[in-house]
Amino acid sequence: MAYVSVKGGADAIANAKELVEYYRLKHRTKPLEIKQLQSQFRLGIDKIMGEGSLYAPEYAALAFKQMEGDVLEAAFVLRAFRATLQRRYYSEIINTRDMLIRRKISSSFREVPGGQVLGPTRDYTQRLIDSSKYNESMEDIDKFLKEFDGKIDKKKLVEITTFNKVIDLLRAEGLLMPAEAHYDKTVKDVTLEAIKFPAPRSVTLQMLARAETGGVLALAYSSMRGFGDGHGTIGELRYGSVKIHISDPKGRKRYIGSINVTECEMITKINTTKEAKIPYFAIGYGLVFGHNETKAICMSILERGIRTGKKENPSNNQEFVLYHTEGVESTGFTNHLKLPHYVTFQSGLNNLRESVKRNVDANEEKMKVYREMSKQFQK
Amino acid sequence: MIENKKFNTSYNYAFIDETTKKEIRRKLLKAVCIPGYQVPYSSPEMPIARGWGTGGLHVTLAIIGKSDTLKMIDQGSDASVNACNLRDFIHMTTDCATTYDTVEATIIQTRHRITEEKLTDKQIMVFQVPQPEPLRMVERYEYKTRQMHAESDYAKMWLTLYEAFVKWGAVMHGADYPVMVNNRYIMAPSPIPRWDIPNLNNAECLYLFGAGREKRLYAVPPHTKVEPLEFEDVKFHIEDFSDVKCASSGYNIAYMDEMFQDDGVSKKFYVNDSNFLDKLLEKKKVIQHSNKYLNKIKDALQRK
Amino acid sequence: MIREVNYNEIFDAQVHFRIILDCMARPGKVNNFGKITVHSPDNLHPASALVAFALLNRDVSFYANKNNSEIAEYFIVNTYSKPSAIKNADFVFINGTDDGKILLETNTGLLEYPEKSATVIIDVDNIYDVPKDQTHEIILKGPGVESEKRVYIRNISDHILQSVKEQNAEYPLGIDVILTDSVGNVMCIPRTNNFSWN
Repeated sequence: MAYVSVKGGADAIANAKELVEYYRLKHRTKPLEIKQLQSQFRLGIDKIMGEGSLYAPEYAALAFKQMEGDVLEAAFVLRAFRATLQRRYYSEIINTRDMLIRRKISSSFREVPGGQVLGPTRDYTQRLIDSSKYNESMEDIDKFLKEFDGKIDKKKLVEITTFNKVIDLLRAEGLLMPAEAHYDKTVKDVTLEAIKFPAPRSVTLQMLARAETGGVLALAYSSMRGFGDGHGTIGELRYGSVKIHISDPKGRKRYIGSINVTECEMITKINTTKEAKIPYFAIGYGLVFGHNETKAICMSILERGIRTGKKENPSNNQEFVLYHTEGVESTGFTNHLKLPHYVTFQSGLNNLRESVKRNVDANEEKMKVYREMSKQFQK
Repeated sequence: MIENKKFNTSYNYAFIDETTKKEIRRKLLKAVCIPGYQVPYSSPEMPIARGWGTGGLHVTLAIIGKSDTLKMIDQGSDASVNACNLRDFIHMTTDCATTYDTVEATIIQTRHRITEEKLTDKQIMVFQVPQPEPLRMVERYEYKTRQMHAESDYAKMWLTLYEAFVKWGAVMHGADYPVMVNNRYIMAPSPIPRWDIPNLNNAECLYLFGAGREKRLYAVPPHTKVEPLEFEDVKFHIEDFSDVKCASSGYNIAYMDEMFQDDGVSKKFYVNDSNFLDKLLEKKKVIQHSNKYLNKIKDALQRK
Repeated sequence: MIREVNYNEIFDAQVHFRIILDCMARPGKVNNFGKITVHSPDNLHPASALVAFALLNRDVSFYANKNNSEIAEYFIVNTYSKPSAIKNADFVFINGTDDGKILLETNTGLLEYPEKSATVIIDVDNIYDVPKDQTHEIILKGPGVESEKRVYIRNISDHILQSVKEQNAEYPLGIDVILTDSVGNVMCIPRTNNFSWN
């Protein structure tokens, strides 16, 4: 209790702040450059932007450095920063059919329009620890880049940006479920108002897009394992860059830059009801900032589950899923248990003591008899 | 050095942007017009973690101005680490005057206590609230609790309180005891001890409540009826410290902190409200709240 | 159309909001906005303009009854708020001499969301807290009032007072009222108030 009863609160905080900074610097290693973090920790930065809900790679890298590599804390810093910025525009809807494809796979079909593009992935490599990275030098990097460059035939480079989507093929054949009759198409902005449940689909998509990867993963996994609606098939998973446009005050569309996104369309079967004559395919949708395939896949599973899944399963419950995968709020609240609660605790102590006393008083008669009896045995 | 300039941000007065402040202010006005009713609000992220006082911060930062003096307490103490952090943040973004003295403050942000000293009509108390929904313990779903408040359908709540009494001989709430405001809404007063509950009723000051994580604001205006839920034959009562005395001041008509001593067995009690204790020790004049429960304790002590 | 350049969006708005909050928390207490440097259109008290500047922005709508196109432009230019029909308006600006039946169209909210209701700003000639002739005496009772409070309003119609009571008959549904006068006084009547008048 020393830090309260000895009025040193402000000093304690100042010292704690300096101490944690000391922990970051005490080994006197080379200062990390923001460009290094952005470049060599690409996936960490992408995760921070996705959970921080702000596409700003340099700021994400800065937050990552500041928070000593804690991705969720860095996302928190980014969110708080975002809250201070003026919202000036809403962009036009991005068109992922126009994505500059870096990676595109489908598990549902062996061949798809434009072909399967494996792209940059470690999926089919072994997770063996690579000791050659220990002493990586600038020479090693230059050597690798030179060799890689040598393998590219510049004459064969063709920019292929547009592929038809797998779901377009299914839709053309009439195999996709028609949209639900009571589908609420209202577009809300979760950063501008408190969300009331049941919430429209726009809320589900926004909140899942900025949810914490681990939380989304756990719930989607539970869904696949039987606590939900089971196993879907990836219609398409894409990673690449998309162009962002805004409308200027005169209404003209302006290109302001591109961002990287990962998109997943999950094909599932809906539950057949007595009324439904045809067991259509349905789509679950996931879209996240940067390269984060796990989150996009899991988001698509949960998104479909929330719309039409069996309600008994927690991973299909909109309120349950959206509230509890919100990383910044969940970390804050769970960690708040570290705050002093002694007044609250004292109040509960008081109550419990009175309850015990009441019980003892009521049993006093019984206790008298037992004491008499036990005295007899002691003789 | 162009790169460094990019990351230097200057913040608006009181950190929050004016659009959000206006939204919070409009909602606070409606909250005052519907005492005890929880108004949803945008609750933007702050550089302070959720669950650590963002709601209280939103309210304070939306209302504070150049002429205000801020007091910040956590569990009754101004010097507690979290109180210091929040006070620093508000001071850094407003340059406001700060004080530990309850009487000097115009805005008092508090976590889980009302001051022992009576507040005046020139003061506003802002509560940090973890769980604004008093019915959450009997109903998990937000859309159902909202309906229950709309229809004044509080049967489930009364039943739960009654069941606790049947099981344990008393309504088992320690802190955050549910209250009925203006004969209409059941409200969560935040986890203040039962000792503080009677001071919400018919007060001189304005009470504002902010729950940041849950995104709700509510209010109790001055001179408003606030009654703890109780039964005809099972009445509300406050904690009783008449058996002990404060080890520093000898006072015992205040909420006490219990502290185990280093021998692991003996206990000492201290007045919880740190500024109140300071004033007692400095023999300064204090004006404490008065209510019927406190008066009963004072009478009983006098008769001893 | 005047864009007010002497109004400080940060500090004036905060000071004026605290005045309104104090009035709403203490119905019957008469506060004054102090030195006013805005030039509101005809038929709108400068004090009502200050209420608008403190509370209106792009996210809410308003309805102004008399001289409504000039007042509408004034609000749009200075607050970016949008004009709307009275039944949807978040803020309704009327005169104490207007026909009370327009108030019957104001939005009184929903049982689940009673805060989604109108705030009505009424321009009257004078607000006094001592008896004066040619005034209505209003007796206020309810949350915020210690036992009872009396105020004296010049130029507010019985019909308006009656309409306010009608809109507030089914608490928690209702509207909340802000009264302003020609010399910068302001006073509030929240829906919780059980008032009567002579």
